[in-house]
Amino acid sequence: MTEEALINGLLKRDETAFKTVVDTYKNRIYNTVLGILQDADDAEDVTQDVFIKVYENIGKFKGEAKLSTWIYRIAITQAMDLIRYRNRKKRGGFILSLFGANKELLYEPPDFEHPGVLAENKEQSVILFRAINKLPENQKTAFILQKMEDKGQREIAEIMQLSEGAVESLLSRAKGNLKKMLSAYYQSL
Amino acid sequence: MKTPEEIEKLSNAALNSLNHLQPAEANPFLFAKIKHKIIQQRQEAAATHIRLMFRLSAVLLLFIGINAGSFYVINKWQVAKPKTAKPIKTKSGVEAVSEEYFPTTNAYSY
Repeated sequence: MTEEALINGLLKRDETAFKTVVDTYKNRIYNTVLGILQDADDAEDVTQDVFIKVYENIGKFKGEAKLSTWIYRIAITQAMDLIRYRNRKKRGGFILSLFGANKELLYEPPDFEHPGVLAENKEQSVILFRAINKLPENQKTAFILQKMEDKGQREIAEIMQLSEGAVESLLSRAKGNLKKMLSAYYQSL
Repeated sequence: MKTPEEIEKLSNAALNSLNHLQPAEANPFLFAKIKHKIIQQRQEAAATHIRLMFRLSAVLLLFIGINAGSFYVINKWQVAKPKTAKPIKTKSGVEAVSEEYFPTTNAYSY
C-alpha cells in the first residue's frame, strides 16, 4: 500500500489501513519512545497513544512531510509531555513534602537496560542511559534518533523541524556533554 | 584512582555501548490493544456525556419543580384572598362619568 493510499484509508477510517500503519511503524516508534522514556511499560502506553492520535488527527496531516516524519513528531511530543508531567509532579511533590503534605515517593527513573544492547555492553549502556537522561530535551531527542534509530542528520532535522546545521550542533553538544558526564562519573569511582 | 587515559577509555566505551544496538520489538498485540483503548476511550466519553446530560436534566427538573411549586403556592394564596376582601362594587359607565363631574362628596368644596 502506498503512503497516499494509507492516508486516504485512514481518512476513511478504514481498519485495514490503520492496521498497516500500526504494523509498519510500531517497532520504530516503540524504539524511539523507549529510548526517551527508558521504561518498557511507559513506552508501550505512549506508543498506543501515538497511534490513537494518528488515527484521530489524520485530518490535520497536511502532507508537507512524510507520514513517518509526522508520526515521529507525535511520538517525540507525547514522550516529552510525559517526562514534563513527571517532572512537574516531582517538583510539586518536593514543594508539598517541605510542608509534610505529600508522603508519596518522588519519581526517579530506575536504571534502564535496553533489551537490544549486546551482552558485553550492558553495564556501560546503563551508565550511558543515565547520562542521556540528564541531557537537555533537544540534545536527547537528536542523540536518540541518531543512535537508536540510525537516522541521518537530514531526517532528524525534518523530524525536529530544525535546520541540518542546528541538528549537527545539537549532536556535537550532546556528545560533548555526555563525555563530560561520563568522565565525571568514572572519576568519582 | 583512575588515570586520565583510563577514564577516557571507559567514557568512550560507554559512549559506544549503543553501537550495533538491536531494535526492541513492540508488543505483537499492539493493534488489538490500541483498538481496545479506542473503544474504552469512546465509552468513557459517552459515559461522561450521559452523566453531564443527567446532571443538566436534574437541574432543569429542579428549576421546573421550584417554578411549579411557587406558582401553585402563589395561586392558592390569591384564591384564598378574595374571601376576606370587600366585594367590589361595579359601576356603570354613566354613573362613573356623573360621579366624576358631580361628586357627591364635599371633598372639593372649600
